[in-house]
Amino acid sequence: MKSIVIIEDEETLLRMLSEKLSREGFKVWKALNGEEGLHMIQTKHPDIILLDIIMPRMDGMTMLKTLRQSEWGKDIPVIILSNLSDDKRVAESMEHGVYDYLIKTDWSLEEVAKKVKGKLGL
Amino acid sequence: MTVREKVFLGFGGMAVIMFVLILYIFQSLNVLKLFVEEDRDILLIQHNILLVAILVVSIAVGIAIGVTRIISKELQEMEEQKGEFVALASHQLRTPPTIVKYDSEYLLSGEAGKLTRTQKKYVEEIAHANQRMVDIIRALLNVSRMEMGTYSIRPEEVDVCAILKSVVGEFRPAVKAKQLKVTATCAKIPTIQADPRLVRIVLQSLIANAVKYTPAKGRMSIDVHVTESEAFIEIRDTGFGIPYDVQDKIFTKMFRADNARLHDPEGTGLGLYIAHSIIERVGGKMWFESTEGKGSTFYFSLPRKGMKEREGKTQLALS
Repeated sequence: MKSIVIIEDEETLLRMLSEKLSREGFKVWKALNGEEGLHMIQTKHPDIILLDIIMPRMDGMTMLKTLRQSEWGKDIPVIILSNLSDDKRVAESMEHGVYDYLIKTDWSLEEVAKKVKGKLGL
Repeated sequence: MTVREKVFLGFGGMAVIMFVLILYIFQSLNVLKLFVEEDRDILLIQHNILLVAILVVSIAVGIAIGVTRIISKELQEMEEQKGEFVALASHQLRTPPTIVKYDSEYLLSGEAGKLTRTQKKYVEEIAHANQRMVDIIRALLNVSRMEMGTYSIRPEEVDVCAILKSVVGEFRPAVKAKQLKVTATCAKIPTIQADPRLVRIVLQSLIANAVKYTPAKGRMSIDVHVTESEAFIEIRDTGFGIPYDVQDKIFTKMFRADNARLHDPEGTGLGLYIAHSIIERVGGKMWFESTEGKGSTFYFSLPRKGMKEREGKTQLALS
């Protein structure tokens, strides 16, 4: 069974994404901000990460940079799922090796799940 | 003219006026002869006044440059703040519709329990209305980015026919539902230097209108051809047409003709405004011919080369 950490501060979205990916056969861990997310990733070693950008305590971009500096997180595939769409953030996240940058309103749950599975070759 | 240019011209003009004024005084100082005995002393005084005049003008120019730099920096910061505001506002505006989108998708999938036919109809209506809201937010954000000039332009070698084919494909379900006859003529033409995203947005807007405002079993034709310096795209339909008395308002923001409202109450009146603004911005032209009750033909041209690259906060969003 593949595993995923979903980091999203909007609880309803976190629940919907988590339920969808659980139904698709993933072991899902949830985090409400970057700080919790980093801790979760370090302890659970997921196969992939779904990451929001604007979050309290630690935002997604800061978390991504910290993750990439660590031995345990530098190679984990990350998909950004955010409603923030400015070029600077997209370019910055690509520089830190994210697999894709998805705008939430443009992607259905089904399409997000397909994207995650596609990256893992499922 | 930008504020920076105005300030620079203002200070520059002031410096020139001061210089002329001082020279005038300098010339008028021949009157000194009345009070000074030696011509040598008059020359010395005139020499000193000239030095002071040069010094004053230099200081004025220096101040002009300094003030211009400060204002330029402030303007840049203001632009960045405006861009950041739109980025954050877009995030906040899009989050609630995302929740509605996910929830309605989940309900319609039947995974939360089978819906009755009536329940399904209501949830579909919610999903449809929500998608309209997402589209309006996207269009308004595009308008805001265009008006602030914060969107990027990224020209590359573009095959207009390939984009056209793809956009026509997006509308296939609607074309099929209305039984429209669509012909697209796109002979083998050379690539042009353009931003493919902007070309797509313009084509999406014009083709969407042609599909929306052409009655069932009507006809649409699209033609692309290229001259030495420009690419021309023509989109013709046998639709409802634009009433003559409102044709001069058709590229105005949020304007919708009465017959357009009648046939499609859901439109935003932003599509043509955005398409027209994009084309004007990248050095092309857009125009149309229309007869109410008979149909419309929209034309636009794009320079084959010369669409200038521009760094921006973000790209315009696609439909």
